[in-house]
This record gives sequence, structure tokens and C-alpha cells, in this order.
Amino acid sequence: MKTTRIPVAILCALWLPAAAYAQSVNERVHVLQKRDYSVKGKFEIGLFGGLTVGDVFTQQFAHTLTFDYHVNEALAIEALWMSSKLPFANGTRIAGSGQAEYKDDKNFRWGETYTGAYDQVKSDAQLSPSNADLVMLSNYIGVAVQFSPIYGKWSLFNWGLGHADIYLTAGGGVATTDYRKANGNWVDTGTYFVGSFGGGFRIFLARWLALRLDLRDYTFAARVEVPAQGGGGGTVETKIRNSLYLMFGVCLLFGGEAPVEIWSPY
Amino acid sequence: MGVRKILLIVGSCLALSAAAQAVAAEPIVRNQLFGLGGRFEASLTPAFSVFDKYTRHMTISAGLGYFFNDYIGLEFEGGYAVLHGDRSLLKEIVSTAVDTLQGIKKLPLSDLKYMTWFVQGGLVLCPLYGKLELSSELAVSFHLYFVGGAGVADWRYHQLGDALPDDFERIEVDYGVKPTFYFGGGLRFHIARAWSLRLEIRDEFFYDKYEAEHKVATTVEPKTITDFNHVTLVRLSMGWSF
Repeated sequence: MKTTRIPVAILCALWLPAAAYAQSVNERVHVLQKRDYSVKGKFEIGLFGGLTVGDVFTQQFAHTLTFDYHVNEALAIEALWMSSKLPFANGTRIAGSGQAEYKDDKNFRWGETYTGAYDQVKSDAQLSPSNADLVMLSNYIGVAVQFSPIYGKWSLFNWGLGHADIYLTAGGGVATTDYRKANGNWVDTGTYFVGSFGGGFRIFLARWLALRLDLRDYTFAARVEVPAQGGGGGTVETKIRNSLYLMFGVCLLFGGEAPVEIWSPY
Repeated sequence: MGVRKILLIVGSCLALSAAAQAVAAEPIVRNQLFGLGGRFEASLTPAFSVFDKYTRHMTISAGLGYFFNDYIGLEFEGGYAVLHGDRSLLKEIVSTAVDTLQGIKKLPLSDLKYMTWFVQGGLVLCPLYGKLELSSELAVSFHLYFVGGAGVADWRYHQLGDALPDDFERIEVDYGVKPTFYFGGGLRFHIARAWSLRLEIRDEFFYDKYEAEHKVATTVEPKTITDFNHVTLVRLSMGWSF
């Protein structure tokens, strides 16, 4: 079912009205009155923390650093670095293995681990998931386009007024990947091209400060070389992996223009 | 979750609602065109499961709700899983371990059960009302809401046969009707005065004490698995209020 996410996201993006790009020669009127928060021409720096959700066997925490430029109210370009591992020392490489395998790993890993379902499969049922199902992103660098056609106001129990915009994002980059063997050794499974898409919303606390909640899927083709056992030959396991990250971030906005209040009949 | 905790949550919701009404002399979001209070809502809801561990679902359900005010309501619904069964991940794991599984009928794993039909009811809490503008051209009002409740559902699972891996999924065991609970949240977009579209994520779960089997050396022995069996659904619902 996970493979259906990409076409669904593309269909949703196509469905969104082209009106977002249309700029009349006449003054454009916003349908919501008093749009207090404008992002046009602004730069945005964000620091995110979060975790993967929904993966059966793996669980990761990650931090992300983002840098956005808002071309206009609806479109932004983003560069980001996401990491679950800060490389310090890979440990001792095991000789003879196909992909580089290390013991006594000293890297700082922020929660790269396996779930209870993995332990249950391994210990209770004495079964083994495919090694390719265990591959995790350790560091990702990429760019993305952010499309935010929706701006909104809301009140919680009618106590106060909040402003937010909702965005969709799609992009790509490269990522390093690895997985942990049952004996505790880490295997470097290589660097891959990764596609990403997702969405989220940005809650404005001030014209220079916003909170963001971001749900983003990273898709890559994991490949694990399983070395030969005894007299048999080695095998290669491949899987399309989806890592879905739920991230919460604090963002600073600077530059750009102050918003102009535009009257609307709505 | 104990009865005291449930009562505490319901009490907190009612208190929050009462507090909100006391404050609501003047609406914060102006021209709040779509109120819920005093209205019934009939809904039709297709849904599909996400974050699946070993099972997958596509369901269709029909429901009826009533809102006491703009913040609190009750809902009842019944549904059927038009698609229910195991994910290919489970078949793959089983097919690569045929020798290990010889003699085992019941896999010692949690979240193996899938549901076929369900009837349930619960509380709806709508704390947040807002307006969105889509590309500065179209204004859409919405409510953010949370749901929680209980009911019953029919749960089943697949047992292993003697000729693996072909026999897997040929033997369906009716696990019975179990008390089932749910909680979730979503957005209700008001399309017109009487029509709304709901996008919701909901977790359905029941407490499962399951007598499975596992191997100790070469002997098959019973093993009790106790865990909550979850099914998480993304629901897209069309509602008509009156």
C-alpha cells in the first residue's frame, strides 16, 4: 500500500487550483480579512526534532536543520539536513564481508533502533525479516519545493485567534544508510538517491517566529548484500523503503515585507 | 484504561466545553457560518488502514451523530471491512521460514487479527474552529475534532497449515466478537450549510490475550501473547447535517 503514496500525492498536487500561480494585473483580494502574517520574500531557518512513525521493524529519532526562501506567499525553496547519526568512529571493520561491516561502533546515534515487533519476530517466533526491511537513513541532505496554497485563522474554544498556513512539499537528495545485525555490528549499506514528499502546517506566533509540524515520507531503494554462508553463494536483498518522519520545529523568519491589510467582503 | 480515567476524560471535556461557552460572548473568528449545536449528522465513511504491521483493511461505515453544542457531540456507527487480510510482509516472513514453522499453527505475534465488521459509539469534541483560504480565492470553514469511544467488532486471523507456505491464509479462524475501543482526530471541512467532508485518523484496538505456539528446541509449546491489537484507519467521510 505504501507504493500508492507517491501517485496519490501527485494527484493531490495536480488537483490544487492553478489559481495560486495566477497574478491578475488588478489588485488581488484575499478572501480572509486581516492577513497579519506574510512570508513573501522572507528567509526562514528552522530546527526540527522528531521520529519515524509507522515502520514495523525500525524506529529512529532525528533532528533536521532547514533553510527556506519564500519566493512568494505560496511557494518556497528549502534546503535541509536531517540526521540520526553524527559520525565519530565507525569502529573496527570486519574483513571479508561484502558491504562494510563494523564492530564496536562509536558513532552518536539518536535512537536508531528496532521496534518490539522485531524482537518478537526474532525471539518469540524465531523468524527473520528481510535485512532490507531493517535499513535506516542515517544522514540526509536534500532540497525541496514547498507549496502552501492554504492560509487560515482558527480559534481554540473561542479563546484566542491563531494564524497558520498549510503546505505540501516534495523534493529529493542523497542519504547514507545502514542497519544493525543481530550480533550488534553495523553494516554500511551505501548512499542512495532519496525522494521525499509530505506536508505540514506553520503556526505563526509572531511575524519573525513560527512553529511547524511536518510529516514527510522519504523513499529509497535499500540494497543489502548478504555474504556467503558455508559453501553457498551470497545473496542480495532489495526493498523499496519508506521512512515516514513526524517532525516538530521552531522557525525564525527574517527579511521580506510587512503584510498589507486588504479589505475583503468575507 | 480504568473506569475512573474514562470518567476523568469525559469530565474534563465537559468542563472545557462549559468554560468555552462562558467565554464565548463574542466569536473570535468572525462570520462563523457553520455551527454544529443542536444538529444531527448522518455520514458515510470509506476508510483504509495505515501504519499496518501485519494486516490491512479497507472499510465502509455509516453513522449518525448529534451535537449538543458547537463543542460536544455523540456519534454511533456501524461498518464492514470490504477488504481484510494479511500484508504481503507477513506472507514473506512465513515463506522464508517454512522449516522453522513446521508443527506451529498459531504464530506467536501480536497485531495478527483483522476485523470484519464493527458497531461503535462515542464522544466527539470540537475545540477548534477556523477558516482557510485556498490560494486566496476560496474560503473554507473547518472544525478540528477529536473522537473516542467503544463498541464491538468481529476479529479473525489466519492459522498456519501443514503445507507451508501455500497453506497460509487458507485457514481463517473466527476469533470472535470482542469489546473494541477507538480514539482519533481530524478536520471537518464545511462544504455547504448541510454538507461537510471529514478527514480523520482513528485507531481501533482491543485487548488481545492469545494462546499461540512456539518452538523450544524442536518441541512445539504453547505461548501466551498479551497485547493490544491495533488497526489505524484514515477515514474520508461525507456528512449531511439536519
